[in-house]
Amino acid sequence: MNHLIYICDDDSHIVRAISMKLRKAGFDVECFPDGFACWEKSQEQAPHMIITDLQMPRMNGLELCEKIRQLETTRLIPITLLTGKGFEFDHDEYMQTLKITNVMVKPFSPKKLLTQVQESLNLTNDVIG
Amino acid sequence: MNLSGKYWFLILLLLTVSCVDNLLVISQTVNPGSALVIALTASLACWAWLIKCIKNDQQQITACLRNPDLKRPDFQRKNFYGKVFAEAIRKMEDSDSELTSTNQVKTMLKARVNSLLKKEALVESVLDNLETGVLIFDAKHELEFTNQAASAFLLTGTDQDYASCDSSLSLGKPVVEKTVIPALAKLLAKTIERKEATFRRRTEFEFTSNGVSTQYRAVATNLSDENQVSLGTVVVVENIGEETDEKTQHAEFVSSVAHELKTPMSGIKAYIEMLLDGDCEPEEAAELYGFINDQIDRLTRLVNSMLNLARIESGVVEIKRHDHELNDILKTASDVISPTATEKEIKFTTELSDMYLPVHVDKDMLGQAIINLLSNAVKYTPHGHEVRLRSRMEDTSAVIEVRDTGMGIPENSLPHIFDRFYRVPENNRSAAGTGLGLALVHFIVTNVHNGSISVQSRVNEGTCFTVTIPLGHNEQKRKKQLIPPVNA
Repeated sequence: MNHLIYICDDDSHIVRAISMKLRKAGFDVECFPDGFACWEKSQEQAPHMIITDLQMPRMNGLELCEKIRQLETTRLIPITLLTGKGFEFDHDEYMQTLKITNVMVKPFSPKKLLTQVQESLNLTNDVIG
Repeated sequence: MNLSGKYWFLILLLLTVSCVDNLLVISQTVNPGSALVIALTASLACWAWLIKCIKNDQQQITACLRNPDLKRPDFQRKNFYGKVFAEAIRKMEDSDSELTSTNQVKTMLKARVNSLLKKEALVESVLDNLETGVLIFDAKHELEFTNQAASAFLLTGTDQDYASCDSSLSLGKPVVEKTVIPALAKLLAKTIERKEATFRRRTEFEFTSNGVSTQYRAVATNLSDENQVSLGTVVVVENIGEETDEKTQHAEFVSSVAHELKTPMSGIKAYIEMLLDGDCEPEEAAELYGFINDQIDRLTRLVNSMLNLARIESGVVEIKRHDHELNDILKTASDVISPTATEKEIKFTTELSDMYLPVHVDKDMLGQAIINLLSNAVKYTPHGHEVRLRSRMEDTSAVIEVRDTGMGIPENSLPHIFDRFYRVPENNRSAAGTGLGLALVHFIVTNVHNGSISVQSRVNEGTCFTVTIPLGHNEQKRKKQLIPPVNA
């Protein structure tokens, strides 16, 4: 079974670009326009990984991460946070408290994102396994 | 003739008289009885002459003393008391000049004290009217002066008791600790203790006064005279709440700009990388080129809007307010939007007031504001629906209404729609936008034209923006001011 990845961003172009890249690499992808929609779906079906933007309407990336870490089924899944913020965003703090696996600063390379997704899933599988 | 001269003359005269008397007696020219009479008469005459001289001298001196000018007399040689009197006058003159100079100094000192008191009152009043708090401590660290703005930082009776029993610093600087709030006491203690290291220290702290919590900056400076003897310490406390708010707003603005610019850039970069890597089929590639083009258009729109807003807000764009008829501006704006509305099959109607609506506005700016409102209405209104532009007169204002039967704005978004970069999340995907259009409209209406803007909306029923602009031409106002009222 392919890995299921949820992509969450209010910008349709970014969602489209990431989903194209991941689908071609053999992942199952589902896209959401905001954190809330992603969280609702995660309760029904837990993904293997989540890639989310930081600034989004209704529920932002950090709120989503918090909710995801509270759900038993998604407590340990890798999360990649996409952000347009630079120095003002304290990567380390959130990476520790919310156990965010990766932070990618926009504009990012889909190729690098794909590599990180592959690494995160293998790494996490090893740890859990 | 002086005193001794007169005595000698008198003795000589008496000797001569007694000799002559003796000779007359010896030569038996006169008998002894007559000789005695002659001698007595002569000596009496001499004494009378001496007494008269003394009396004359006394009168002269009395006249001199009665003279208000009390000039130094020129009779030292002739007057019996001349020398003594002259000496006394000289002494009096000396003490008089001393007195005069003492009085002068006294007057000068009085004037100086008065002017210093005035200066002190002036400085105190200036300091009291400052918004910046000033606290001056003397060399013994006792509070010497505070202005009104600094009174909030002083401890009252109960606080003093608390400070004195609960403070680790109170051993070192008890006076300071009991006088001012802990943040300032700490700063003062450090400034005083470490004056060798630096004569000035600063700190920023949050303080709640009258229920309002604000950020303050305090700067403590050690004062000393030219011989480096310590005079005390001055603490200047400045409210930097606005500065901090501005910094926060600026940071938020920069963060929003970064987000808005980076989002299309991320899309472009991702698409280009995929095209370069040959990740897509030819049909997909064509689609990606289209997306890249759209994203570049979005970036251009964003940069243009940001520049327009920044130029207008910062005053780089000159505001040219002239007398215009409002309906003319509205017609021009509606002509711009009409083709887009027709293209989207939206019924676009204009119901302009029949009355002449005189306004004193910048035609281009107000026109742009109306175009922004109309363009938003067209963007967020589905096919077959309606957009209406109306104008009317209401009291002393001209009212412009842009109403649509589109998707509407949710209630929780209404307070934010004039914020920069705010986009209604539910309507975000319906149309491309920068989140700056309404911020620009708000600035043009309220700041440039002293008007007002309000919005009413219901989801799926439509939205109505109401703009009011003060009525009246500037020329008429001037004429009215020039022509004096005619009494009937």
